[in-house]
Amino acid sequence: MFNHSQLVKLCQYLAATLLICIGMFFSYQLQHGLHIDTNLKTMSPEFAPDSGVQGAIDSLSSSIEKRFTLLLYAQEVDALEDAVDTLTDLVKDGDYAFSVIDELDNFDSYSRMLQRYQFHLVTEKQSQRLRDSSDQQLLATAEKRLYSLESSSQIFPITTDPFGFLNDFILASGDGLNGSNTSEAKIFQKDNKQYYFLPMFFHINQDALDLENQKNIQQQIEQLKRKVAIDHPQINYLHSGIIFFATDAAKKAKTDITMISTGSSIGIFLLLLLTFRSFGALLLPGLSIVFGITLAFATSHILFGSVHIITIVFGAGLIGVVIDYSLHSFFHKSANAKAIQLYKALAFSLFTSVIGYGALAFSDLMSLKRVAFFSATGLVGAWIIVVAAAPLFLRKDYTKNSTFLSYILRTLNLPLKKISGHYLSLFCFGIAVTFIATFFSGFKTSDNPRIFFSPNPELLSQEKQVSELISSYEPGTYIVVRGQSTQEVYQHLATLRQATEKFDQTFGVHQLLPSPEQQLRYYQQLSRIYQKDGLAWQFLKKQGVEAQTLATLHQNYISAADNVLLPSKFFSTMQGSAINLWLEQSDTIYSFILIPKDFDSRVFKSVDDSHKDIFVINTANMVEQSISQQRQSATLLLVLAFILIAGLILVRYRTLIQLRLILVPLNAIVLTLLVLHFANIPLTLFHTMAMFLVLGLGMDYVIFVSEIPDSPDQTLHAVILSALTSLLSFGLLSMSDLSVVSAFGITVLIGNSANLIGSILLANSISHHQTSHRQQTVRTPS
Amino acid sequence: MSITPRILPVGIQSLFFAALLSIISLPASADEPSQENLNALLPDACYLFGNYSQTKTLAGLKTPIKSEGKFLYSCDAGLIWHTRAPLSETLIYSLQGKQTKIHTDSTREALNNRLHKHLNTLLNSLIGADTRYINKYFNIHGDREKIQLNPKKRRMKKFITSIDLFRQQDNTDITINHASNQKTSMQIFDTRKLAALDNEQCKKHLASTQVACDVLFQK
Repeated sequence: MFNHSQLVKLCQYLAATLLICIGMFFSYQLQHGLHIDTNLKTMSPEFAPDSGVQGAIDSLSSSIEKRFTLLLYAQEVDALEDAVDTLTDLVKDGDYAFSVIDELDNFDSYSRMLQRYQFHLVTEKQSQRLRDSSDQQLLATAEKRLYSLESSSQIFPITTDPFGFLNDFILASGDGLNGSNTSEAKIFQKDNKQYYFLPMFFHINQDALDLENQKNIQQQIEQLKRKVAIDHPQINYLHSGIIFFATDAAKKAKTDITMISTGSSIGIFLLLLLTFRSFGALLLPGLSIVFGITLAFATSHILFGSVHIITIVFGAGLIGVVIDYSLHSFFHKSANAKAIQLYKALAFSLFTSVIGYGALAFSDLMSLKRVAFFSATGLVGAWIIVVAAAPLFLRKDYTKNSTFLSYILRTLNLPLKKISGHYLSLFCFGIAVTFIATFFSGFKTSDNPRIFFSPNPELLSQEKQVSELISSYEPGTYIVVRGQSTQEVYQHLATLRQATEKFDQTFGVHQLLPSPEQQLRYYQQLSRIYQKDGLAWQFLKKQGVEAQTLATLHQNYISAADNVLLPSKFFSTMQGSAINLWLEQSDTIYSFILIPKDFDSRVFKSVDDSHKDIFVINTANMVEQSISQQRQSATLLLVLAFILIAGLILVRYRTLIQLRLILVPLNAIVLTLLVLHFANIPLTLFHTMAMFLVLGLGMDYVIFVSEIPDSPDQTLHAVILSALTSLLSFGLLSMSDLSVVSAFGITVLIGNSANLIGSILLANSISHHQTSHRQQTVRTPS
Repeated sequence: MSITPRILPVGIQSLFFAALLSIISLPASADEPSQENLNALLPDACYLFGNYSQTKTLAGLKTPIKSEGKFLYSCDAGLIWHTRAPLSETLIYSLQGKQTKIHTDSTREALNNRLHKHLNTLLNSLIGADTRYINKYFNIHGDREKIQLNPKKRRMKKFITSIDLFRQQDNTDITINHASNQKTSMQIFDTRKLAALDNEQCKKHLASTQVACDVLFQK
């Protein structure tokens, strides 16, 4: 037998335990800092053909996230170059959260690395010369080089690199990228004026997506700009990098959180005061909000290691939902309803709300999973504390002053009472008409990746400008090549080269480093140069170089026989100063190939389709497809949720007529679809996900209407107040700049309004049937 | 976005040219400030012709590398640098931004890598007697006997420690000290200012490498 006293005691123990845990969490974590995750990437679905490729793409993204670009521009090139030097020196000499990618320093480490593999690295042109030239020709060229101006600027001494092969290879690696030469000031037009520009690249040394780090980095950047402006006031900047968008999104989200939580709190506070006319009435709702939200925050932080900024924004909107349990407790406790009825209804309500939010966990989006967990935990926490504390807080009847709610109910009932008798037919008719009408006109949907966030237009404009000025490659389209070994990857690259002669316009490891097999061939080619008494020996001996030096050079060549430079070593050495286009995970290698702008990547389509290890990634298209799939599966899940809840209702009430309960949220959703359709708001994944909340909230209301039919007015007062608080919170969410959040807000705002109307209609219908039944009973005495 | 490091070897050779042509006429004045000395060193000729001998001290080689040749400069067209011995090679740095090498067999090779592009820019700016340019890229120290140019820019400092200029009778000596313990010493002599210089006149001065004149003065 269900004993509500035992339930209350259990909840009191749970509440006390959880309170201690929450206290311990915050006292520990506040010392170590709370981790607020601003990684927008987690909002985006996975889209790669398989998890391995997705992991590789995520790794590349992580590498890119840690880089940003400042493009300096000015009307005078001298001032520009000086400013670049000044800024470089300031960053190098200061203690900043980022380092400047200095080409000169990179050159040193790059040259030193390649020197260790000099006997395996020659350019294709040099290799051709080695094949086609006689010994005399090679010696003559080397001698010319010695006397020419070029040898003065040779990177390594003649005794190390007598024929300049290494020198040429190093220069060619840099020269090969002349298409995106960024070391010389170039001209561009802006606002009808001519400017010179130079980009500066930076690498962030910390977690680029941590909120505090972002704030710190932004401040440091502004500080540097001010220092540069002292001597170079004419310098302007364009910004490029994920960090700027992340910081902006975090700022927007913080503004939202402030607006929503402040607005919600003040609005709810005033609403409750207006309703109950007592500050004492605010204690239990306040406690449920604080307890629910802090429990949700703590458990999310423990489970995920951080709390996502979007979760916090939703959490602010949760305020209007967690308050429901305390409101229902006020009204039904005061109505002297049987306690057991109240607690059953509370339990059932919690169950359906958790189902509603919990359905978000089935999404592939980590951010929505987190929102689901946060919200469900918050609701459970609020429920526990209300059940535990209600006996202590509800000694007084706060509802006797709720004339405000009576007034609202009377106003709403003016039109609604007239149609309550036709509740069932009305709703079914409404659903049918809506579906027929929209089926023929078609629902407008949108799966554009832009739904995830609305970038700051100014930042976006700068990003585009920077990309146009310095980047030769498509940011969202590239090729991923997979292999079990380095040589296999190179073989796939050769396959791609066969697909189109334009393959050499792309950029990847094939432009930087010969394959291991090729390197071994080059080693053999160089034997005529470095073998004992070879051409190097002849050349250097003629210049009077000591025998010991000649012997050392030869010995170095012999020792280096199998010493090929692998891409993994190449990229790990250049880490921080170059984007890692080579990733080795377990026994699989992923190599990224960048595609130039205006390059028709469709030429690779046939290879992509036929080759299991070559993937042409078009991020925008793939994300859109993924979002579309998710939206469709979310729709099916919603239908499933309805079926499950219908099943629950049948199990609970064992009568088909009670399926009328589900008509309320069903109509609410249908009405929402209609409104969105006629307001020309395309249906997105987030509108669809928000419908789960509409379902959960609607069931919340109808359960109380159905479970406690004896006090319909009290129930409806509670429902109205509950709906108003939810509408306040979600109404504020709908005003958010974040598309994700506003989509949720507008859907729940419309849907829950319809839930309220539907609940009143249902309550009137139940009341009407009860009255008819009593009248019939009176007329027909046993 | 920068994917690999950009390599910018500095035009050491062009600095040599700049220093060379900037000290053609070193006035014998006593106790003048470095700036004035430099001003006096810079050529006031738009068209110039002369001879040079060069000695390079390279790391690991006991014996310095010696060469000699001629040069011809036009403020309208650019510079021809002809090495006569021990091998024959001609470099052309035109003001149009092109760099060309003429081989012994008169074949032409375009020099499009960044090393030569920077040489061209530096060369023509210095040879054009742009004191503003020298002051921009170098700190100038010295007296009437010797001037030292120290690079201001980081990129240049990586490869050049300093450039020493001094006068010996009617000859001018320039020594470029490289960052890698190497140096290039030049002696300039028999210089002549020309009233005019076109393709035909160029060919008269550089009879052994007339193709270079065609390249420099081509429209």
